[in-house]
Amino acid sequence: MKIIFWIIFIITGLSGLMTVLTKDLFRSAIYLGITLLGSGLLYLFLGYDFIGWTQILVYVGGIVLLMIFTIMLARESVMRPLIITIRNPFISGLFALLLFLLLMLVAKPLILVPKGLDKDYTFLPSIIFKSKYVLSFEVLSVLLLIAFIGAILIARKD
Amino acid sequence: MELKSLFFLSIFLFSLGLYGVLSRRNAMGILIALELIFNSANLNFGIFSKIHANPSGVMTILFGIGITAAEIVLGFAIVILLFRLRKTSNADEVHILRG
Amino acid sequence: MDLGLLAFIAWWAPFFSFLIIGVFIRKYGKLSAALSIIAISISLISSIVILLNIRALENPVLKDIVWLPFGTKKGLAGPESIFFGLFLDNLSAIMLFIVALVAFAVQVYSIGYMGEETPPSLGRYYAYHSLFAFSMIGLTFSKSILQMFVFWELVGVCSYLLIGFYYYKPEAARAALKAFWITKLGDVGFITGILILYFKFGNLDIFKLINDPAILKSAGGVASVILMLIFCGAIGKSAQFPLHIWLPDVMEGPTPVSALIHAATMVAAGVYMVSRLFPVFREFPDVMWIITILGAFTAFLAATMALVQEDIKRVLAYSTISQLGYMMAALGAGSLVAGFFHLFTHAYFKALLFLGAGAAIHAVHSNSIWDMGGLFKKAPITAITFGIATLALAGIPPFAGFFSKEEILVATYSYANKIPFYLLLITVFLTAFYMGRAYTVAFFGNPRSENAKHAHDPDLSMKFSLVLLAIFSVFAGFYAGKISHLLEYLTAHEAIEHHGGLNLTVLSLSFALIGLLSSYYIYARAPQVADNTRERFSFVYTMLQRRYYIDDLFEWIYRRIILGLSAFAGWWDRHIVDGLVNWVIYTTARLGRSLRVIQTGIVQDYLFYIALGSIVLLVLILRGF
Repeated sequence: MKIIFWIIFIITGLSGLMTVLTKDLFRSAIYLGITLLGSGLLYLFLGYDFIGWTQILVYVGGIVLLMIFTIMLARESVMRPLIITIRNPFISGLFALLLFLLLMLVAKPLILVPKGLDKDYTFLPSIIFKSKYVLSFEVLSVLLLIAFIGAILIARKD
Repeated sequence: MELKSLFFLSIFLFSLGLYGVLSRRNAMGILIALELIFNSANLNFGIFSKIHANPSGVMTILFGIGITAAEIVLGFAIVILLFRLRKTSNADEVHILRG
Repeated sequence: MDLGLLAFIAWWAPFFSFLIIGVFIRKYGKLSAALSIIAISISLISSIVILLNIRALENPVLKDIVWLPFGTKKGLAGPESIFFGLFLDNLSAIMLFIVALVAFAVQVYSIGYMGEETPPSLGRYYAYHSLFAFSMIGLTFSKSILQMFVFWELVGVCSYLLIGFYYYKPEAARAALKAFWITKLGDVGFITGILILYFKFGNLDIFKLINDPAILKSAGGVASVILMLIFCGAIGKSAQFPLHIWLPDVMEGPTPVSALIHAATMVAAGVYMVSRLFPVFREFPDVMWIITILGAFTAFLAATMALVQEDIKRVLAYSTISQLGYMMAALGAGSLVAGFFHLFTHAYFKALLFLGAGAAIHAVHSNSIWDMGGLFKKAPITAITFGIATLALAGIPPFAGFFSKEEILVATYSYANKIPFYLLLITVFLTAFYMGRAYTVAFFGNPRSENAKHAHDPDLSMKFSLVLLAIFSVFAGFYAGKISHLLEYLTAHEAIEHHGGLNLTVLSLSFALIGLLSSYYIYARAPQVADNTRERFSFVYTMLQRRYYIDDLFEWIYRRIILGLSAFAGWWDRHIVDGLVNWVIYTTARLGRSLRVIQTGIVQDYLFYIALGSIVLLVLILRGF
């Protein structure tokens, strides 16, 4: 189990790195998909089964697919890949590095020994529908609906 | 041990996403990098929910996924509109709000 | 009969006339005139009825509503409240009659005099007249001093509007403004006095004040100051020295307006106010002394200035100032009856003089007496009525002025200090002289201009007013005893001691006769005497012509000091205050220009700032704040 965890861990990290380093937009999206897939699998290791599968379904199945379609639509020709150009790479890199280090330093004391490792989140839907979160969940669905309608309105050709 | 390494991964992904958002010129590239940041945030919620044995974090991941989906859909719609109007998808070529 | 209701009708009828004219029928001149005259007739008839029933006024009619409630407890206004209401007693009843009669005569006269105005202009004229009558009657009936002040200012506004009636004439606009501002100068004192009075004694009710002057008396010096300040208002309104300079300029307005202002409304307000508060003033000999000497001095000063005027209306204007001085001197000398009686008689013959002068001007189309001449034959009614008024003003029996002037001289003669008396006695001669001069030049001899040859009597409405006022000028004098009797309750057995009695009468009469005859002799028979005198005493002549340089002094103060201060204030405002503001603006703009550089409009640059902010925050967290 541990070996599988570490393999997924490393793949997720590396594909994340490739997502930002690659020059081809299409490939970037594919790498993103792999990263999200890896994260979703990692949720399973934490015991968040429902979350993990949701992540894989919504993100990898839905959003990344949407991105790929869009990128294909925005391409001038099928043959030429969309190249991502870079501005201010050094300053951006410096900022990213600084934040990375600072966040590590700041969060170090926050990582405690978990109290609830034995808690079971397998049946999350039942928790959702029995608890105070049910209303928020409904609101979220309305938000999504509005967002989709808005997206159609914005992007359609008139 | 697991949690610590996952936390490292989350921060690593966040920094990568930040780098991507700051340095990329293409708007779609920026949105992709933004997804990395969201993902790392969700991961973080999961970790801390575990540490504090609090289901709110898990719930927030769920909401986060939903909201991210909405955001990405709208973001890409805007990019398509931008591409159609300006014949470009580079974010730094659109600066009509310059002071 | 309810006299209070009647007084109320007399008071508010002109106001409704003003409202209706102003709002609805201003465009129809004749209709406005008719309405205004009907309204003032109602007031006149009411006042006559009140006078006929004056026995019922042994106890004054008091009606009021709370105007400014102070110290309210359980829904009841406290004793410090200020009331708005009606105060009808013998004094205000007589005053109402004077105002209503003169306003009526003037309004009727105006039909003929203002006949050539366009209808809207005529409507405006009558609207002002109605408002004027309303304000003056309101002042007459005022229950509290604050209410009196409100109507006092309304009277000032109305006179401003009427003097500036020909607003397109720059002199008229200037004169209106001058009248307004100079009287305001006195009003500043008036309102200050009212405020001190209120805060010191918590009482502005006239009825209470005059019935219990002892309260003020016990306060001593403060009360003297208060009364002196209140009297300042009368100085401005009744054109006493040194604020008399506005009155001669009033002639820039239409002549009937001059008649109204000079006789019964504007300038009478000051005298009436002092009469109204007379029981209070009487308790303060120091204030009374100032009033006397100021009045006598004004009377003398104005009479000398009237000697050299060529404009017939200016002669009359200075004579008004002079006569007001008489009234003030009489009041100051402690004789309410003499002062108020002179106001009573003076109102008729001065209104008559102005209306007669208006008729003469109407006939000759010139204001200068040297353009008239010979009008006696051409316009007999004008000449006769004007002559009656002249004799009344000069103080020749049996005309009205003789009796009132007589009383004033008696009053001042019995006064401790004799200077006012001598000043007034000389003024009797001067008055007779300048009136004789004006009359002789304007009405006797040969016509001095082309227009004067074709002069004629005015039309019916003007003649009616002239005759009406002439009747009163003849007979008003016989009411001396009656008025003295009616005002007894205010004078508290004022002892009119007839010191000198007959001798005094003979003395003043001979002064008046000498004045009249000598002026007739000089200007009708021997005009070279006048020329010689003028040449020999040219500096005096110039000084009188320049009105003792008082106008020049005011102008100098205005030009040098007030305008200088204004210029400095303007400079300060433009350079210091504005400069500060401009500096702030400039700095802000420059700061904005230098800061706008960071607003590139590129999304990622803003993200940089966000990242930077996060870094700073994290560093702060690390350092434990």
